Amino acid sequence: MSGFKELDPILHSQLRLAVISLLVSVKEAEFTFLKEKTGATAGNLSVQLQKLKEAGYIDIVKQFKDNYPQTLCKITIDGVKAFEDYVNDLKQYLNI
Amino acid sequence: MEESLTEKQSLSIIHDMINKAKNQFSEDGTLYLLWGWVILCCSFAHFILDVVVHYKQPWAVWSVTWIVALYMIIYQRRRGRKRKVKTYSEELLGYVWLCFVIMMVITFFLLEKFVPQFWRYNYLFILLCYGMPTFLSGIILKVRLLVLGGVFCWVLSVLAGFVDFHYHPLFVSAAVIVAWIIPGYSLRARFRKEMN
Repeated sequence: MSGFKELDPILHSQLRLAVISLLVSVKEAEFTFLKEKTGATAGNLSVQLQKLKEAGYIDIVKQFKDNYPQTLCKITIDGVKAFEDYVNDLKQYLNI
Repeated sequence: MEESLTEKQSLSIIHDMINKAKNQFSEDGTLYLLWGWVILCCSFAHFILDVVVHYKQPWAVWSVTWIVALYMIIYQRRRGRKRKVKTYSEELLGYVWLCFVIMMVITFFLLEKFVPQFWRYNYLFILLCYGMPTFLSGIILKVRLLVLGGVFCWVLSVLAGFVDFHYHPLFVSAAVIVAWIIPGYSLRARFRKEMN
């Protein structure tokens, strides 16, 4: 594998990659939307979202909507850049 | 979920998720149909009241649009509350329609202020303004009928300039049928298909 850049470990995980791929396509999404589309459990999704947040790839806003808690997720500029780099590295591996 | 991924699996996840997000098509055509039918009825009623009945204030029929505008605000707020995701295209469409409203308000203000007998030209400018959001919505939503509808509005605005102003409401009726009502039903069908 010499000459190949190591894939970003934060993104090289099934659920985190799925979340970032969803968020790169929309402006912002609710936690329930991400849960529905990825098919993940709420607990696992929360943990992975936190990891993405700590890496600075997403912003998480917790607020109340109609007296119910709402969690909104949005990809950051760093997140977009990391995703683009990941896809480019992937292309290298796959010789695309 | 933490097991190692192969490069092909990664690519497949990216592909699937981007497709899932892309299919988040929330435009069901309701507002195009609502406004299309309201404006069709108002413009046609205006024509009948003016040309057939010779009523002195045929434009009064347009006051119905204030009620519809109020309903639309409530409807949009409710829809916004139910929405789990906000796409870039939805945000862009919102700004396009905001520009349309601003253009309409400024156009009427300028016509009333500076153009004598401005009511003779009202509908020409209404058609001109209708063209912009319809065309751009068609481009953003990738709905060819809306793009054609926008162009149709512009063509009608020019043609109407050569016709007696009493007949202009009929041009508006034709414009909303082609630009909003027909695409509205098409959007509704597309939305229902994607929901199933």
